[in-house]
Parts: sequence; C-alpha cells; structure tokens
Amino acid sequence: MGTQQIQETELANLIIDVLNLEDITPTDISPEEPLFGGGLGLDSIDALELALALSEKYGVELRADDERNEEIFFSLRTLNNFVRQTPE
Amino acid sequence: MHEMLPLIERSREDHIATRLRNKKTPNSQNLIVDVSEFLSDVIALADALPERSFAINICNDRYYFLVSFIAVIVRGQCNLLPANKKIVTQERLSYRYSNCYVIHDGTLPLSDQLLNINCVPLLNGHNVSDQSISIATDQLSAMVFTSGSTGDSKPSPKTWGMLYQSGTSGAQYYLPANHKVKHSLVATVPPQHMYGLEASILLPLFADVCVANVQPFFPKDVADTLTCIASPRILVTTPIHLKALLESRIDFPLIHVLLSATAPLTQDTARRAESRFGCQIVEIYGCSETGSIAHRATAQDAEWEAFDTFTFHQSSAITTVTANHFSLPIPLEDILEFSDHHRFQLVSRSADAINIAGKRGSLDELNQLLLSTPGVLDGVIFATPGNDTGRPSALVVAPNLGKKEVLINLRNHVDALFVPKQIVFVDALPRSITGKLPMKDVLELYNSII
Repeated sequence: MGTQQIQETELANLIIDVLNLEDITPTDISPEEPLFGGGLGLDSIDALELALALSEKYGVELRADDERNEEIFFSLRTLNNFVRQTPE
Repeated sequence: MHEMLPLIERSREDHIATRLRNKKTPNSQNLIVDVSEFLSDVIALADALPERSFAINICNDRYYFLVSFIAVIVRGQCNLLPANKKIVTQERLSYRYSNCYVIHDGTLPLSDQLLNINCVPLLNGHNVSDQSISIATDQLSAMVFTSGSTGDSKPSPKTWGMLYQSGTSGAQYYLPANHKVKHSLVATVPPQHMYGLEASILLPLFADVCVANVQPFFPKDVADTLTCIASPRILVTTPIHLKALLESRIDFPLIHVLLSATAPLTQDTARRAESRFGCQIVEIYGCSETGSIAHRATAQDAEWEAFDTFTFHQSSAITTVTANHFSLPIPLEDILEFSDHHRFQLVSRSADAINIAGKRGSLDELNQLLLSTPGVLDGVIFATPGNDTGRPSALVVAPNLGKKEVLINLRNHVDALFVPKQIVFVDALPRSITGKLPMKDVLELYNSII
C-alpha cells in the first residue's frame, strides 16, 4: 500500500467534500485501492457526481472503459494522474 | 399445437446493430450489422450451446448480449438476467437453477464452479440465414431478477409472448409519431434490467432501430458515443444520468428522442433536457413484473397514458394490471389515480418501497439490518425528502458508535446505493406510547436538525 502524494491528498479532500463523506479523512483513502465498489462504499451515483466536480475544477472529462463500467476502476492514484495530464 | 409468434419483424437488409470501433485495437472500424448477419450469428450460437435449461446471461457488449439472448431462446432455453454480474450472484443463481450455465463475452470474472460459454468465438455471420423463425408464445424465455436491497432477488418470468408484446409496444409507443424513420440507439442502462431489455434489445427486433453495442457511463462517454452513431438518435437513459448530462458542460450532438424510466422526471428537468439536446422526452412507466405499461411526454403532460394492451383494476389503494399476455393479474407497488380508464397520475410509491438508479429496495429490510447492528439502540431509514436521486437517510440512536460502525451491517449486506449517505445521531426517536414511529414526526425531527 503506497502513501499519498501531496496532490493526491488535495484530490482526496475534494472527493470527501463533493461526496459528503463525513466519517472519512483523506488518509483513509488508500491511493491504489479502487474508489468505487470498495471499502469507501462509493457507488455509480457518486462516480457521476465526482465526474462533474472534476470537470468544473480541473476541466477534465472522465471516461470509463465501456466493458466494465459497472465497476469503475479508478483509484485515487489513477484519478490523480488523469486530472494532472495537460489538457489536449 | 402451440401458438407461435415471430422472433423478429424486420427486413433482412435492415441495420440492427452498430459495433463501435474498439479503441484498444488500432485501425479497427465501426461495423454495421444487418438482420441477415445477426440471424446467422444467432443460429450459429444456438447450435453451439450446451444442452441445459438456463443460461445466466452476463454479456456486457450489447450486441453479444442481443445475439446470445436470442440464441438461448431459439434453442428452447431460458435466459437468467441477474441484477448484477458478480461471481457470488452467478453462484447463488446456480443453486436455484441447477441445470444452468453462464453465457458471457469474455470481459468479466467467472466462477470456476460453473460451466461457462464465451459466445464471441461462436458467432458466425457468414452463412447468411434465410430462415424465418417463430417461437412458441408460452415458451419461458427469460427471468428478470428484481434487484432487492438485500441479496435475495425476486424472479419475474417472461414468456416469449410477453417479450413479443414488450417489443411491439415499444415500437408503437417509445417513438414519436414519425417513428417510421430509421433511428440509431444508445443506452446507458444494462440489458439485464427490464427497462434496458425492452428499450435496447426487444425494440430493435420490432422497430427500425439500430442499437450501439456499448453502454456509455460518464457524460463524455455518452457524448462521444452519440457522435459516433448516425442521426436521428435515441438515447435510453435514467433520471440520474440525465441530471449528470444536463449539469455537464460538454457539447452533445442532436438527440431526437430521449427515453427515461426507473424514477419519475420533473417537468422542469424534462423541459430543460428538451431545450438543451433538441430532443423529445418520452418517459416510460413500468416495473420488472409487467414491463412498460404507460408513457408520457413529460415536458407537456403530467399524466401517464397507458398502452392499450393493459386493463387496470383498483381495490382500496392497490392497482392491478391485466393483459392478454399475462397469465395472472399483476399488482403494482405504486399508488395510481386515474382520470379516465387509460390516463393516470402516480400518486406515490408504497411506503416500504425505495427505488434508486433502477434498483428496488425495501425500507423494512434496510431498517431490520440497521436495528440488528450491535450498538444501535434505535434507528430509522427513510427516503430523504427533496433528494432527487432517492437515496435514503437515517436517524440513529447509538451513543457509542461512529458512522462507520453504524453502517457496517448495511455495507456488508446491501448494494452501496441503499446505504444511507446521511446519518443523523439523535438521543431518541419520536416514537408514540405504543412504540409506533409516524413518518411525519421522523421527517419533522430530521428537518429540524438538517
């Protein structure tokens, strides 16, 4: 289990804020574990809400892999790498 | 002699599916599948299926689902359509339907205890079929499982007569008056759900509709998929997805018809969607047991208009539906108020039912799980007032617990959608002397804190 990088902590804070996760602190979010369908209890409605928030804050649009979008395979780390990419 | 009904009512050269380019394979292209090729795939697969009675159909790709769903029926077998595709769900189904196998498209984890068939290498669209296929009206063809809030879901059996009726009603009522036009269709709902089955699998068998093989999720996925398919376009979606599409700032191509079901839309949302996407909103009302039974043009009309194949009966607050293709009358969970014999308003969901993202739960079951959690002295889960996703909240008396401990039982047993987002800790619930808990008082207490 890896430790969070600074930007990942910022993103973890945003997730907690947007999704109203009152009982979770940023360090509870393990950077490499799946965000959705895992221990955080996040589901597909959360995924859509988070996508809107990331679009507003970072101007990026999340994409899912069609084949497995029932279980959205984002971890804090993959999500962070995605939002930090230079927009095309 | 069994009464028979056609498998499909389309011309051989009609387009029935678009297989979108696989982004992982360079130089791949979008492929259009016509009815001849589709039927050849169906026959090739039907011949290759094992000699069993039930097929747990977990194909993700909508074209593979369409072919395998129909091949299973042609072979005289029955599709089991689980509410989710997890291994534990597949195994649980196999205990109930022992003579079964799993049919899939190679994209999901599988149980090693079950026979599984990957349909992809078994399709063979080369020997163009000229057969006309009919199915016995009373052949058991699918079991749709209502996604209860706990693991045990309720099966709803479908004969070919019922599925045929769904498909032909869809062709008549889902599309506006000029429905003779050829449409392309994209759905954000899975084909294993009754609404997704009717609107994205049965509809293309009986209306001039070409269905895309993908199931886009995020607004950007939806916009990109719509851009890839030919106009005029139909989008099959839910209020939750529609809300996300409306809030996003992405440009969407013109959508001709937007179908919505699973929870009621407000007139305001419908109007905003019509002006944003240039579409006509058609809202569908139904449930797993009956399939679609009514429609409304929500932006213009608050009342639902029933399909003319159904007859309604009311006694006290319960509405039952009858139809020629039902063997028994089916009671509805909702309370309906009729203005004439075919037009009605949805007054409310019954007190126990909770419906989120097309999944149906029972507040009673959720409350039992909450109350059986160690350390929870009292508590109540209820539909959050004013929350349009339908997610529940809870008032809890548990002086020594945190939110995580309160939710542990629920998280272990129910779909994450049904786990209350907001837990409000209180000293006591407003129970009457007899121990009853009037919902009015619960909401009053909740509103005074929030």
